[in-house]
Amino acid sequence: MQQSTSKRAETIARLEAAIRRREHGGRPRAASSSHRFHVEPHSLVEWLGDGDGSGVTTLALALGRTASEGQTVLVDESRVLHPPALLEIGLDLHEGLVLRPRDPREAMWAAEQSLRNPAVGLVLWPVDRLRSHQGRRAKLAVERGGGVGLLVRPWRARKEACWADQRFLVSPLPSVAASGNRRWRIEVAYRRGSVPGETFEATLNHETGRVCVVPELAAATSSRRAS
Amino acid sequence: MPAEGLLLVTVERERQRVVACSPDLERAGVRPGMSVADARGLCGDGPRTVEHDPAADATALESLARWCHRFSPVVARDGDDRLLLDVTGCPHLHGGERPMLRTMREALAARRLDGRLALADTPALARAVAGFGRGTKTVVPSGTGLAAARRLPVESLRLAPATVVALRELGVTTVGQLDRLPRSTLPARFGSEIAHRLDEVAGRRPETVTPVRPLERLRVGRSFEPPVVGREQVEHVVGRFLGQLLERLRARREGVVRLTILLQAESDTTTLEVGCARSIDSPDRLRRLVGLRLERTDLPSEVSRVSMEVAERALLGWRRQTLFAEDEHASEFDDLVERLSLRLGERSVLRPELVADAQPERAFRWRSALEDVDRSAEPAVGLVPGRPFALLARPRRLAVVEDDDGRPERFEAQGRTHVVGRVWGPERIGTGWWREPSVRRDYFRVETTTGHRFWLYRTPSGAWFLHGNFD
Repeated sequence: MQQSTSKRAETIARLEAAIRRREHGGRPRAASSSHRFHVEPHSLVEWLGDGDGSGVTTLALALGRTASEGQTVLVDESRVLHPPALLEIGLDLHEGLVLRPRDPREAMWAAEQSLRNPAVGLVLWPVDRLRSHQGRRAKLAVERGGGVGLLVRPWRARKEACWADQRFLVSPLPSVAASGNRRWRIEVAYRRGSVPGETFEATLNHETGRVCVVPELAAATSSRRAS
Repeated sequence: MPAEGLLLVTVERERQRVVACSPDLERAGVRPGMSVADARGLCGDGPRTVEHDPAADATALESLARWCHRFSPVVARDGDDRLLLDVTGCPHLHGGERPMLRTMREALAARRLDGRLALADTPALARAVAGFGRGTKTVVPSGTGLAAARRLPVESLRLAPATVVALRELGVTTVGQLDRLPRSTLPARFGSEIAHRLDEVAGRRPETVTPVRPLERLRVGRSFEPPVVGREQVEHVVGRFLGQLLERLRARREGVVRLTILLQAESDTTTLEVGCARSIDSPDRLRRLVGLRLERTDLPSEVSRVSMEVAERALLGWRRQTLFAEDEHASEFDDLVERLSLRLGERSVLRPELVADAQPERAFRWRSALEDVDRSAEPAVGLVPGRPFALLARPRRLAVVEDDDGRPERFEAQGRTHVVGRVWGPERIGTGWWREPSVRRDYFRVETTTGHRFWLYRTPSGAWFLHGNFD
């Protein structure tokens, strides 16, 4: 009896694995970076950052690579990408392809081609303006390719419709005094099956290049009593 | 016991024998001529066996010989596994004899080939030193003659196996010992063979080599009267030419790696380059790639002549040596690199490479993703911590308020006032006097009270610049 139960469990596990393989083009599911916060594998994720120097691109890449396998494509339309910084977050320069399109149209085409390609695990695409149909195309491309697409956008885009699977608002926080490790506050603006407004605190360990994300603690205010 | 490795095998008298093996297996004791069963006894079942294909080896060596025409106009095959290059008058093009050998070795490594190189006055001496000398790239000083070969074993002279055995029985094992024997006594026992070989090494007897013919240029072209008008007609002509070229390549089991297309108009000529990540023999695929290239080209309104040349070709199955992994999706990734390179241009599809240079803007360079690279080479530079994600092409002048220690306290950037919360630095970066203009900068990593981070520097004159941000 026990043997037949274990056989049944084995069959179920095998079938579940087969379903996952069909769903995700054969890619293994990557481990999440924490229990409650993670970038979904095989998804399009929007990161809205608070201006230059906010570190949103670093954070997006550092978390995105934990959810992906395969080649990394970085779309660098503004031509500012500084390769030595990639090493610091543990990105292998050998596995990276940097695209320097001349205009937003070329950038859209290049990003879409990369997202659709099953060999590409991660695509970083900083994009200022994104029309609805472009967002939809990017989403479809991710579904086809099976990798992770990271759209890095300005804060003002939070008023626009979201085609991505996840949208995070990122604001930098002053670093930890002793270590100098960088910190951010991440607010979940949209995620399927999640309550908007949930916030997390992320810390980048500069020595290991890894990001630790924990739920943000509630403000230490005394609760009001009804009198 | 090596778990991996490769055994090249052949079947002799119904027994599999080792023809060659990978270095790790050689270290485990595997030797050519050994039976595969014996080899497995030494190295286990891990190593893969591949059947030796002498015809494929010969074709590959012939192809390599043609590729070597970039180093010398006279290249000859020498046996089954050697090439002889007459490099008279060539070394200065590479900066000298040693730099030339270094360049050759690097170029071979980029093709994932390992080789032993020797440069000497005579083909026989070069052959002996390359095959039996200690170094992997040796330059034998000119005029040394037989003296340079004295310590080499007698096998290095290409003597018949029976002669080698006879000499060893006499206790003669090196070329030096052989040379000391009285010449008059040699013919009686060994015929003229030994004297001939020694004379070849010393340059007293000329040695003839049969050079490999340079690769035939594969070109097609035609003038049109009336001229070809419009993209569609150009694509049609190009498609027809592609078919012709591929047919000629197919007979040699080769494919296109780089194609040059010339579209001549009355006043000027448009040149198009199409690079591929692999050798391609599929007309449809090549047509699609050329189509992508044509799409982003302003074609002349009237084309009077269309010509096409295969600028680079390789055996079918060849893949460009890139740093990208050869996994199950390798061919899909190659397709992507080709498509992106054609549509965006090869200078827009890049791989970064770090360079050992203190000046930040020169501490990396971009290489086309379609360029060959030496996968085995170690990176020249390691991690330099504290570098910003975005580096401005031109540092931006800033108005900075300094504290008493001369560190930034507040600055204006993009219409915002930033109050500095933490500062790391200064990190002094300077270049040598030999670089013009020389650079001397004190860099500061700056974190504002809001958590934004920037990379600023101050020049000796006290001017402040924003050079990057930690985005």
